[in-house]
Amino acid sequence: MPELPTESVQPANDTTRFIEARDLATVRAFVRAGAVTLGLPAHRADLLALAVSELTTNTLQYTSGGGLVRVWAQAGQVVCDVVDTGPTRSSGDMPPAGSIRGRGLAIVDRIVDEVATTTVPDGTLVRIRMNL
Amino acid sequence: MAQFEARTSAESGRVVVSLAGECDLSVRDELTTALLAAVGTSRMVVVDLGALSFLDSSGLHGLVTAYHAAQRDRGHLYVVNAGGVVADLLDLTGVAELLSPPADGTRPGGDHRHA
Repeated sequence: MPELPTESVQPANDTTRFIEARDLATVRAFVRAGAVTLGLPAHRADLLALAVSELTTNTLQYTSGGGLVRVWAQAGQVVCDVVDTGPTRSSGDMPPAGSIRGRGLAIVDRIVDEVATTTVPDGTLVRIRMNL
Repeated sequence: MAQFEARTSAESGRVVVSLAGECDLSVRDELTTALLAAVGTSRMVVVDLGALSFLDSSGLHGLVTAYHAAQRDRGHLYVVNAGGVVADLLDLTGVAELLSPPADGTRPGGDHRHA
């Protein structure tokens, strides 16, 4: 997990791990609780949890392992990091309503205020931000 | 986790699938199986999302798959009672409109009006 900036604010328990689909509900509850603690209103915290759920689902579907999720805050934003061991995946436009698949990362783009993808030594870091 | 549940009940001229709890990748196959079974038994399938607290793209995968199956059989599938973040997801993906009930309150297929 990359080091955080020194001015960041973190909940006491800031990181959780996911390995399989049954862990996704736990990840969402973790993100929701952390985001609310850091000051995000409940409905925005639900949306952030949805975005993280899409990212972690993508990890489970397209990489060979699980990953880590961390929640923190910085300069008026709640930040959520999802780190996995896969290559960088890019998102596209929202597919037409009748499409069966291809929505996950487009949903993330529509929900969060910022999204940045970085290659890190262990794999890929996706950092999403929601304004407080 | 609020346990996912898909409960199917037959009513006059239609089948209602009531979803509850959280619907994600871990229950995608269960959802799709329940919806396709409903489509296989009725040309009018109503999916009640009133007790669903979470839905993601995995759930949309199941709903849209069943929608296409219904269309192939000249049937109908629509969703009702979405709230909170479930409604947000349906709206921002355009699936809310795709699966919306007919605006005039009549049942598609031409039978009688809801009481």
